[in-house]
Amino acid sequence: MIEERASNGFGKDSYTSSRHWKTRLNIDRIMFFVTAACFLLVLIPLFSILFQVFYNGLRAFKFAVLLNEGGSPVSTISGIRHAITGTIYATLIGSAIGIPAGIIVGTYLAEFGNNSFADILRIIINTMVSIPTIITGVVVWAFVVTRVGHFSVLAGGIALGLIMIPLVARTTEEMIMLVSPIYIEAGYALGLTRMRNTISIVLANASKGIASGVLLAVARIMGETAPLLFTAFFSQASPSNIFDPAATLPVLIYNYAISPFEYWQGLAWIAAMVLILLNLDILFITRLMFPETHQSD
Amino acid sequence: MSQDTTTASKPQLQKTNSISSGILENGSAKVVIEHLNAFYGTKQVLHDINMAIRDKTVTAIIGPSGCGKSTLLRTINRLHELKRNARVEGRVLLDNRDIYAPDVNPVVVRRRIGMVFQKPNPFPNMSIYDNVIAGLKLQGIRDKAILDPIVERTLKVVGLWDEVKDDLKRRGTELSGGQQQRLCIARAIAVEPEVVLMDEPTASLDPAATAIIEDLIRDLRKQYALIVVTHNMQQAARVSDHTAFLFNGKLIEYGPTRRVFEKPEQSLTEQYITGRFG
Repeated sequence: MIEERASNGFGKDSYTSSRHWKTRLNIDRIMFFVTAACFLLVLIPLFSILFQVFYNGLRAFKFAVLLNEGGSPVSTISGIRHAITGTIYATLIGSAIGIPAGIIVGTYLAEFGNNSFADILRIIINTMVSIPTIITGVVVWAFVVTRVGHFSVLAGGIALGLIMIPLVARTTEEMIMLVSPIYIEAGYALGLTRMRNTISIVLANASKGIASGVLLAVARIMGETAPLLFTAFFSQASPSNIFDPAATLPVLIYNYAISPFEYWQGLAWIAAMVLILLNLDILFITRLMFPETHQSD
Repeated sequence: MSQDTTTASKPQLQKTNSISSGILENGSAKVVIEHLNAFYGTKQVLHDINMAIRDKTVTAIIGPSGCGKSTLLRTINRLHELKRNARVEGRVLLDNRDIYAPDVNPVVVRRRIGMVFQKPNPFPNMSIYDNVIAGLKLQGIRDKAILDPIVERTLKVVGLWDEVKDDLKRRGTELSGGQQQRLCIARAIAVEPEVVLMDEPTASLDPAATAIIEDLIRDLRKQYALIVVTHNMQQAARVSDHTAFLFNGKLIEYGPTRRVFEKPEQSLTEQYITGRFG
């Protein structure tokens, strides 16, 4: 019997009853509660934000608010339609600039990026990510708004596009790096040119990851406030073309929330709710379209 | 050793001949490798390789891990130079024309030399059909009347047609490992290359799938010059006409497979094939 225990290292009973084992089980339980508590701690701010926004938003909500243009705080029929239109305009213009430019830059860095020019570009991209967005707004104000002579949703879109470029470029580069070299080599071995291989093999295989990164970037610029303050500025009517100044949801929230009028404060809550819903929509679409975030082999 | 690489190819071939004894009897060379050195940065991985490879034969390259087998293979279709800091010196002649000559576009070389890799790598974004014709389609051929028969013919060559003809629209990556590798062979031969390189084509397959691929290699030999890198000496003995033994980046011995395995001239070769190292 003693010999058998020796040959196992330790016997069956000593395995489960040893003090060492009990300590480890207890540490395991404690760690489980610690992580569970951290999880709940993270959820508290998220749900309190959602609760606050939806509670106040729904309390002030009338369907007409979504259909009516902006107006005086005493009219009580003015709405936030102009800001929804403005946000859509600015986001579309920003995406039209940021998505193609970001994908091209990211592809260049990943596929052709073994030179000093690319190293400099990479530094620029990383710096751009950390530039405060209000600075981007000021720069666009100096280069676009002052030259055109007035605020415009176009200028706002340009500012958003500039913010988007490094976000999209980084995702694109990362997603391309995830494409296994065995496919890239297979493309070259078939006699594909570098350009053809990059488009049809590399980008095609990274497209899911890039698309989901792009959607997250769209969601991100949709909520930007600072870069729009000096560019798209504000207006009480929907822009009739891209050269009009325009209200956007984040700027409307900022303006109305600090106003002394209760009605406008209500509109700010509704705008916040709409903005969150638009954002959640995009996140939801991303999850739905691209259930896995990583490339499968 | 003579460094006289500028003279016409004839003396070169004779010289190569003396190294590769018994290779060129009754036949001409499809690929000739001359004074080939390959580097990664400052590290030299191939040292003065000289080999002549005959058309419509199977040439096996054997040797222990890290001896430069794969690098040698990848210098033949100019894939080696795609790696960072990779560099090649010397000449590789395809039908007597140097593929490293300054006026030669590597893309054109790679269209004439197909390659099959160690891990089956059908393009994950493409169907079985699209995988077979990937090389053609991405070169601009889109006419279904041309492509359909090519798909059927090449899939029949690799013995995959009966297994997949009803679901050509399925993704290539949904096939089994052995089927995927046969799909990759189909993809390589669909562009009608003259030489097919295989880098340990059965290393990730089970014995049954390996046997099918080996049969296929023997079949393909009727049409192409095949160069097969293998870790497996039994495989080299089973499928190849000629065997080259590489050790530490040097070509130690090269000759008809039977002779290399039964009466190796070099003691290193004998030690390797009898399993004393490797």
